[in-house]
Amino acid sequence: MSKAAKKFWLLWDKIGGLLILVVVVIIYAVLYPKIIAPEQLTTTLMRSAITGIAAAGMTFAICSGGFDLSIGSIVSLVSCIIASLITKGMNTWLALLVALVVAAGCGLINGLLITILKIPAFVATLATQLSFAGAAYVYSGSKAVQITSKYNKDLKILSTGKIFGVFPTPIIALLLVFVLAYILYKYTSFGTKVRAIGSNELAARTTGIKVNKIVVLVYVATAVSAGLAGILNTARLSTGDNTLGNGFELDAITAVILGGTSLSGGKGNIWGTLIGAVLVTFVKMGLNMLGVGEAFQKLAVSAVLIFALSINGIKLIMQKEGK
Amino acid sequence: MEYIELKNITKTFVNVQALSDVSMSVREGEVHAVVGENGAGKSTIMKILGGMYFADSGEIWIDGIKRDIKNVQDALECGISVVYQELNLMPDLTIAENIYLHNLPQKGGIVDKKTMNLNAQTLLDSMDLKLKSTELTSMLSVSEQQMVEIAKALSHDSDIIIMDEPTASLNNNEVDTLYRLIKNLKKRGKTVIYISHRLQEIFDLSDQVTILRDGTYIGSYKTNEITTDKLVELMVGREISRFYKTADHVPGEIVLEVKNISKEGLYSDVSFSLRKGEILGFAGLMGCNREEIVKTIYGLVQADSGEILLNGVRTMPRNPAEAIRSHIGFVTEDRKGSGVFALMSVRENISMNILKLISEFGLIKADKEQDLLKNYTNKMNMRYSGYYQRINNLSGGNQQKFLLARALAADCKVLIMLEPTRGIDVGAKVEIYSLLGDLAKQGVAIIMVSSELPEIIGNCHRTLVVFQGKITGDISKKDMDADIDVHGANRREQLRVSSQKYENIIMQCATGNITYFRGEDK
Repeated sequence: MSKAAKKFWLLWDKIGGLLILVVVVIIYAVLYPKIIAPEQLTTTLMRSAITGIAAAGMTFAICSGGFDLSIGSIVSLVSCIIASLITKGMNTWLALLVALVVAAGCGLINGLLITILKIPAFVATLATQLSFAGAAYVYSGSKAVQITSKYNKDLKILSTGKIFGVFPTPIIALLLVFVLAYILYKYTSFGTKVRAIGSNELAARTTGIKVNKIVVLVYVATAVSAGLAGILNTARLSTGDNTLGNGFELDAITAVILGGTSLSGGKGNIWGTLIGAVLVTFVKMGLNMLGVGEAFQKLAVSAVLIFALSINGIKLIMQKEGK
Repeated sequence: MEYIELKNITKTFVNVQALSDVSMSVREGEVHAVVGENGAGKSTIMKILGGMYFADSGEIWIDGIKRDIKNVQDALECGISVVYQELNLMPDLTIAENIYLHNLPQKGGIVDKKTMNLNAQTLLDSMDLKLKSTELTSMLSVSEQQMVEIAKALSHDSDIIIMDEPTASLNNNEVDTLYRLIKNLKKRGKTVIYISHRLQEIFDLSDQVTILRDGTYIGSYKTNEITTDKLVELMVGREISRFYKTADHVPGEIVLEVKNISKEGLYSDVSFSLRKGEILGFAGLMGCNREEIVKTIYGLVQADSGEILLNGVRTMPRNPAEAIRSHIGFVTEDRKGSGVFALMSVRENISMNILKLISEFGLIKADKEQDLLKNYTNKMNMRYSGYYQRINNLSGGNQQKFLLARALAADCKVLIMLEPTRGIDVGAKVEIYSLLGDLAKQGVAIIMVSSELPEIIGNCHRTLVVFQGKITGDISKKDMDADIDVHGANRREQLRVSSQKYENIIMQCATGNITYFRGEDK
């Protein structure tokens, strides 16, 4: 591969997602100028928080050489638990804490299946996707639970609330999570070890990294971030819904891949993931405003995912031929 | 006339000259042994005959006809089948299916299982094997699988059978079966080329023996006209240039004591000790499990019984993390597979073992990491463009230095290094040797496992030889060099002779011919 091509791909990994985002925004702006009105952009960002926070966790899972397909079901489960506990009169913040602990438990199960039983992450989390969704279904009695205005005062802070009266809470939460994720990824031994495991698991074991411990932590972190996403989404809808997270994992994974994180592990891009999450949300919401139905939105997201994967594939082919 | 003739065969892999200008010939109906040390080129030349590799230059003549062997199919058409060292059986198929996979008997488009099973059973019976052709391969032991591999090769009814170390995984009984099989093949007029480094087998079986060394042809002899000593000398033969910085200091007190450790299927009743500042070599042939013995000290393998004492304290690490905490360092033999983190920077690669030490409040201090890198760069003369450079863009020698630095950064007192100079160029080799020598002088106890005898002889105070999971030799360099007069006029010649004697004893121990402990031949 020529030096110019190498430089191009290096740059693409860093800002490819951003470029696509800009193109998408321009196309939408031409088709439907209202989309880029400030209030609408704020709404889009607030929605991005839900996908984005889960995608931040997912970045660690994929970077470690793994995968987590179960996060959509975790979102559903968290949603049911919050709604049920709050409408039974539990303090909102306590209910949220309980939900996060349950989410962490889900992640622990994923991590143990993958490390102790050596089940490939893809299959293990596919199985637990069913388990957690089933748990949500059973727990809720398959009914959506409305959190009425009598109970949702605290919850509203998380959806329409503004910090210092200016900044919408979801956006602040999104930024906080990403700053934290970036520090973890870049500056702590945990992040370094995650990348080491994704880069060469055998070498990591040989070097004395406690691979199992780190991998379990990765899945717990991913599940907790999914739990946070579930909390935000439940707050937004004021409803506990056992199908809330259906297909959600696809959005998060798309965001991570668009952001330039290597699918084979070892190399992540936290800020890229943030851009990816905004992009996915933007594509969906834009279509929504253009009057395109949910089914077609899914098609559109899958098209974006396939596009991102194809570019990744082309890169790999070029790198191979260059050798 | 010669039956098989190889003329001027040359083969180069990426940057290793595997064979250079090798010519050899084999007569029809003989058992022809090909011998040499690890890396002599035995397997390569047989893979060229078998169609697995294609020679860069040279010619193959079979029965007076020049042949172009490009793939396995071509080789089979020339009447050559190869039994490779590696097992290539499909575990979920039956023995019969495995044997006839290349050419399943069919009846109207459907596999004729009856004929297939019958043919396979006839073949197995003719080999004296107590195996059922309808059994699944996954149920067989390794040695039985090896026998099925041989059956597979025989099923082609080829005139030339090549066996690449067929006894590597066989026990004595099975070796007997194999002997009978080979004698039987010879009776039927087949030509057998037999690769091995077990000397006994060569004398038991072969009519003619060809010796290769470092990818070149050394000679070919009638087996009954050559002695074991002569054969070993031809195999190792090279003059040992002692450019290695031989560690000449005297080792201190005992640091590590391994007492009677055993691990089922790998090694048994292994005991040895290691002194402060000592460089201890581990020699042995492929498959003797010496790596597993030293990996036990680093917690990568767990012994079933026995104990390891570190400075008199029982230390049985359950994983590498525990070993590192006990100041045991390790450099792998498989740099790419279990050594470097290819996607990460040189700086991150060096600090991986001590992230806690260079962190404050959970955050890695970049300046401390940078100091670490600088420190070792100065000591070891690594070359890279910047701290952010990915390690997989460096040469093998530079990568090896980083792995060594990573082990040393965790303040190791016992350093285990497998194949310290595998796949690195001569310049870097010399640098690694002198680094190891310096470390030993500073009091680090070093275990060095190597397949290159000159490397062991040149660097180590003492050499342990492993044969089939047992220590068969403990040879100290001082003993070997005892009669050398350092000031004598023919010192060079004396050194050569003593090195040769040294190699000779190692090879004899490594092939199970003798045991040798500290000078006195037992």
